[in-house]
Amino acid sequence: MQRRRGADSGAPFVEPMNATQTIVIRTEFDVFIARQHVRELARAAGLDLTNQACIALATSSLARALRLGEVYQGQVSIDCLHTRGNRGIRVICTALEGAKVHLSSRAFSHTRWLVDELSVERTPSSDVQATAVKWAVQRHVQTREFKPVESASQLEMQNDTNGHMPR
Amino acid sequence: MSMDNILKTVLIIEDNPAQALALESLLIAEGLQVLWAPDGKTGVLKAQQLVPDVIVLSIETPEIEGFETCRRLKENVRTGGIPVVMLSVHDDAVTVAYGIDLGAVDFIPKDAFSGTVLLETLRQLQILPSTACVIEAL
Repeated sequence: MQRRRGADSGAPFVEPMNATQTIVIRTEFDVFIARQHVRELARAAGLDLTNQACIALATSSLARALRLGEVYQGQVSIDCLHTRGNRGIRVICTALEGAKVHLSSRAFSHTRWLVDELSVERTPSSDVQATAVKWAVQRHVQTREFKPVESASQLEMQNDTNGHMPR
Repeated sequence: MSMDNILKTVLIIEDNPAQALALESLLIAEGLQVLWAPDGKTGVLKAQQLVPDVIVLSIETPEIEGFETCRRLKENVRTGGIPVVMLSVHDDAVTVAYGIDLGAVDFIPKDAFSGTVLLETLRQLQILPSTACVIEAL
């Protein structure tokens, strides 16, 4: 995993599709940079314009819901997913020691409208992690409603789709 | 830059003259013909009369707000097929989802990258040549 300081990193960049990009979020501007990187990777992954917009804007929505760059520091990790016949983008927004983040915030459920998969969990170290996935071709089913979870085991249950999401 | 691009027309619907001018300069530099409408009502009329290749629509417009403008554009036979790219200072999930639901092909937040993103969007819509094509032409 490669770590980059968002605001100091200069112009947007795109790395090979199998690399994970991690942007450290300290200010609101870092959120804009992360959003731009998500859009570029989504394009590289073959998502159409509308899906590029959805996952990019879901990133900033999640960052805001987690109050990244405003109250908490954290990071946004982006990687491309490959499955049989489909490609996608996974974005993981993490608020470090986000003790006061409400997992049931309406902002999370609204973000669900923009992505194919969304889960939010509080880790044992009190970080809060929101994971969103957008696929180039929308997958079948996925009828479950978004529900915030408090434990990793609950998260796994929520994410137990086809078992293709690489960690 | 090929001759085809000179004929491509972009209609900007934006009430803020400074932002409209900035967009216009950006697009003219890329060889596009640019039209400007300062409000939604004028924008819908110009789109119907001139049928641009793409419409860049700011949501925050007077007379008719951007969502209603988009709805009217999509309902009209002459303008329904024109790609609409929404621009907004509002980037919350509700606003974005609503805009896309109305038929916008892209939603670009007004931030430091909006110009870059718009140009890339126009490349993907084949309003502008792709970077690979430009290199090939050189």
